[in-house]
Amino acid sequence: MSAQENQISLDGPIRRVLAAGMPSAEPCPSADVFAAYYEHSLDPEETEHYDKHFASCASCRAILAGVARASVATIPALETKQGSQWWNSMRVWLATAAACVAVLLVAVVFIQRSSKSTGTENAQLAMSRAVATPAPAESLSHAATTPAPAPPENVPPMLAGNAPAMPLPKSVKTPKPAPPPQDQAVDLSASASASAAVVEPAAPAPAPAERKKAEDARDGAVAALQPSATPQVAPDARQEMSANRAMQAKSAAGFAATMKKPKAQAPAKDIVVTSPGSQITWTIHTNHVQYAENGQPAPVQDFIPTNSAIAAGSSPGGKVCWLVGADGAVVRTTDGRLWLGTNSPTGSDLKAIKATSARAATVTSSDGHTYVTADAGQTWKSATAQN
Amino acid sequence: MPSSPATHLIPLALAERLLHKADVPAAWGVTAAQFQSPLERSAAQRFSGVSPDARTVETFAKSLHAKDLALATACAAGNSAAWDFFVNQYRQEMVRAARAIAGDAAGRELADSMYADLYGGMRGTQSGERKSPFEYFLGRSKLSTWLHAVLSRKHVDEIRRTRKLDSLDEPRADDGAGDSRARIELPSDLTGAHAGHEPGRERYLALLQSVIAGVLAALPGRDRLRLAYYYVDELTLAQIGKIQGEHEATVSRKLERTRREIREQVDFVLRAEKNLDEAQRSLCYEYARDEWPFDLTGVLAGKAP
Repeated sequence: MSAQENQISLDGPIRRVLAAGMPSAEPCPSADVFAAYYEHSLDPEETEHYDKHFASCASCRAILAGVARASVATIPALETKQGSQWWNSMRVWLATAAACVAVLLVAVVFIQRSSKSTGTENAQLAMSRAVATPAPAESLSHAATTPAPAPPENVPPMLAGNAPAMPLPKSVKTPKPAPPPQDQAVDLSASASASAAVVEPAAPAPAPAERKKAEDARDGAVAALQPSATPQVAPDARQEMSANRAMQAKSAAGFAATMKKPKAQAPAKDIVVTSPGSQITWTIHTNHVQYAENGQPAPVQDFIPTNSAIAAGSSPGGKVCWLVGADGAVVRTTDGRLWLGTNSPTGSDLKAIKATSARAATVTSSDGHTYVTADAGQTWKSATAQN
Repeated sequence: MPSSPATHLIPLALAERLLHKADVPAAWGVTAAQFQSPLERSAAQRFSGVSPDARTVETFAKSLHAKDLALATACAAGNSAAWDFFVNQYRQEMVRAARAIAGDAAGRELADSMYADLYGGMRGTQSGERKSPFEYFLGRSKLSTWLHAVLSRKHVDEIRRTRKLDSLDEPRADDGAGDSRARIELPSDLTGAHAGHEPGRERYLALLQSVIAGVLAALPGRDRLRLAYYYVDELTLAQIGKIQGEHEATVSRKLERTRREIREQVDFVLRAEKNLDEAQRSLCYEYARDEWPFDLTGVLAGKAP
């Protein structure tokens, strides 16, 4: 039989021999070597050396296979090599967003020139908030009660029609976020400061000043979107910000907001949990917790090991705190800073929790069920069924 | 943490230059003296057993990912600003990578565990209780890739620990006699029905396996590794290409070439060294096909350029 005719029959034994492996006397390399090997940054002789080892070591190959899988899921921003590819795909979207913002800006300028009343300023505020959705309910209601100005006569219909997402007075009423739950402390400083800059009635001013004011309103709205930005931009810094920069920031923020929608609806406001009998508070942002003791916030926010939106928290005292959220997420800390996930009693969203100790807590799901744990969340029992 | 060598491979001035060039934020608080330590460890690992000249060491040091190394150094030292930066930059990345490695459910646990190790290490470093995993990052890759490797190794270790992958340990279980042929075991059913009425079957299969093992052992490491990825680990051609730095089509072509060379070499050995005639060789191949019906011909042909 010729070698050509043998080809089918040898794959089986080849695989069997390869799977059996071959002896390798040397120890497996460190993670640093795996990573460098994967990035092809080892020297040729090192690469050849590890090729031989990996060929006979199933564990090492499994690790490399894991690295290969992980790299596929890498965030594009972290991969500089893929940066250009990511940029190419995003460029179309950014260009579209920038065009929309440009149309909006032109419309705003026309409005300002034709109508200089306080009502117009409120409309601008509402419009800028519409861009920076979600907006605080209080300021929206204030703007909504203001008589809507008449549509400007000198706005070209083509422009108005090209920006359906930003209808001028109508947008005041469209975004209606739910008010924050009463049992949750709300941090409105960012949005409040943004609105404070423009809500005050102002006397009619020359067009350039109004234009700058409109930019300020947008800057404030954009700043409110940034989780780590200072609540209020310094006045001199705002003066230096050009309209073009404001447009870029807003389009990027809008784009980021559309691309990074959380799986579940994230709470619009921060949740604050206070430890009874002590001066410890936890302020929960999305996936982060700001720990504070005696009013002094920790220099670093702590990570919550869940992607689910946190809905409620409870502290029985001391440095113990429990949090619950969407998709049955339950996380807990016993030292105030290190958060670890526990087993989940249900896949449903959890909306409330009452913790009585570091090990005992009762949670309530959005479908009305109640679950109890007495072993730090390792096991849960349905309290609803017992009732 | 690996101990630093007695003599410095990396001068302090070089560490200072690299630190300055990396544009490391002052808030991380990394000093040149601090930065010299991981550079030293990295060079010591690379040039273990050799005495490189100063230029070689400098070239090597400049090839390192200095900013990532500075970040790891700062985190290992317990700097809160650096930790904050790390969390913002890599937290989601770790979760995403862990899920890709271990699946959604186990991936979350894996990421949590990794995060706890890093965080615990950082806080332990602050209190002097324990060493940080960051100290094992030596800057020869991006920090993100290193995190992937640590996550992947953690996952494999966990699987091995729970004995779900006992087969991974099999090749290492013995004392390594050095002859791969000694490792080959015949399937249990070889002594059963087939062996009963086909007395030569067992002998032919053992012979074929031993010849194939010898041929595979003689292959270049890279070719053997490529075969193992494809035959055993069942990675896709794209994944193999990513690991080996080759195009998918190149991987396919090289796999097919190696496969053909194995077939020719095996046939030659059976004929010239084992003195099997054509009928006997045909019987070998026929038994193998029946015993291990595994065929990549169609797959590789479909992927070939």
